[in-house]
Amino acid sequence: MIDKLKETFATVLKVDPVSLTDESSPENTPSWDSLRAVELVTAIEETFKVELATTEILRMRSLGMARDVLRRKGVSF
Amino acid sequence: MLFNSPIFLFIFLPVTYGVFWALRSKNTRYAWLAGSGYVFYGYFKPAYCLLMAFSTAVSYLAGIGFLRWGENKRIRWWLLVVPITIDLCLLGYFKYADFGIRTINKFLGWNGVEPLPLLNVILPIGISFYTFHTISYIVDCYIDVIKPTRNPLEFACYVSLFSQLVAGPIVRFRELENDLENIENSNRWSFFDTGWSFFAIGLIQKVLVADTIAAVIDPALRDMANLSTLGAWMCMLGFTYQIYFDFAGYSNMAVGLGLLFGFHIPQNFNSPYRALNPADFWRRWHMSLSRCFRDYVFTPLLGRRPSKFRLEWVTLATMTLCGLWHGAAWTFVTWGAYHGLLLVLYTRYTAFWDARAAWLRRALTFLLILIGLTIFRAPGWEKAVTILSRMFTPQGGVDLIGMSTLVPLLVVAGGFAHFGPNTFELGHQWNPPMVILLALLFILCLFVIYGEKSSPFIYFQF
Repeated sequence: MIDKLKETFATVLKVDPVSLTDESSPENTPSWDSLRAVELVTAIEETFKVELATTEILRMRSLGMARDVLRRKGVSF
Repeated sequence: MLFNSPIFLFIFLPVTYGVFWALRSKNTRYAWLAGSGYVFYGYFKPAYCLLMAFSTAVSYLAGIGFLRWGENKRIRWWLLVVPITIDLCLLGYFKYADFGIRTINKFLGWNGVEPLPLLNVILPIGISFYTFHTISYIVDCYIDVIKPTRNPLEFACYVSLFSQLVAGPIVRFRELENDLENIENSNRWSFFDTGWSFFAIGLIQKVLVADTIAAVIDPALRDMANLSTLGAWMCMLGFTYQIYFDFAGYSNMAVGLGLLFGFHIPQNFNSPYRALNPADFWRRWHMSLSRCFRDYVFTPLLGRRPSKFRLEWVTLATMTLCGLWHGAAWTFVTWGAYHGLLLVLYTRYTAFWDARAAWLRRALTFLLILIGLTIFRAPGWEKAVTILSRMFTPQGGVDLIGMSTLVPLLVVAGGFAHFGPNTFELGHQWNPPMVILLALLFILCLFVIYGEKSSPFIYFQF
């Protein structure tokens, strides 16, 4: 299932959303470099109307972990 | 103790391996590996074991603190700051104190003031690596990426694991957590073949490639002022391949040793000389260090929604710190700043760079890396300037003694580095002729090791 979070990641990372899973991370997604990571934070904040603290940004080391961070902030998928 | 020394290969490794698999319970295996890590480390200088034990204890107690007072934000903050400060103070004293004094003395000398006495501190081997292990553990506890371990033996085993103790790869606790938790259930034979294959290839890369190149270029570089332009280029080309095969060889040995004991140590080199641009290079070279700098320096410094200026400034600062991490000398700082500048320029002109042909981008990236390594290799600023001027202004002089050995070696080394598969791309399921070839090369390495003094790995000094 393609959810809103996957779509956000796919748009920023310029990849097919189907190729993304909760295990997708900078280690297995070539386009997820440190600059794209900055764009991802901005895109997530704008899409889900949240503000991310530095510790939360650091915790988002995979798509699944980003989902977890957003859930803790009350975002539902 | 070096991986390529007789005492490691013929005594330490067989004994550690045999006893480890004879033990059955989790805690005895942790204790055995932790203890053997201290023997391995103490072989360099026993007193430094105390330093590693202290650093381990501080981080372990911080982890316990997170478990106990994790809900209290204020205590959490102190649990992050205090142990990291202690770790950085130890690293600062042992690695950078004399560097700082020498730098201050330069300024004092210009003003005719008496220099400060040096502390003459001897750098404990591997301190930069295990400090990163402990700091990454504390930060990961703080940001809730890992649950701290209550078992002191498990944590001691993680920090002192001999396969990655003194020169990396920098393996974060969460990368080994699963293997550590299941240590009593790991299957001896699951990765036996792959482990030996990695170890043998690593040893061959170090002993037969890196050390042979070093034997030719090191004497020439000691007398670099007399090198011709061709000689200077050949030396630095040689060093570019030497450092790669030295460190990638070490990393492969570490991965192989990890597998022999049931640990999956992550890849540290992904054919870096195939990189298409400076950013690509840092995704392929010393990957475990790049990840640490990205997660623990770059991202926190960047903050939320950085401006373009801040992004460039933070990139430059991170890479300069990365240079300083490598060694307490201004040449390393310059090398780091140089790479920072390359990354900033690449970010600015990505579209222009990426429009060029792939072979041209690869060649130019390799050339830029080679120039950087010239600064990295030079024993000081004056020498760096000397060799760079020899390379870039046509000059006569000594070409290079041993050119006939070096050229074919560089062709083979270059062929593998640029076009061959790296060890993680290999299947490690060898057919009989390849097994025989690997075994022969391995035995040749043992003869070389037995006949000569084992040469240390370049990254041991960091």
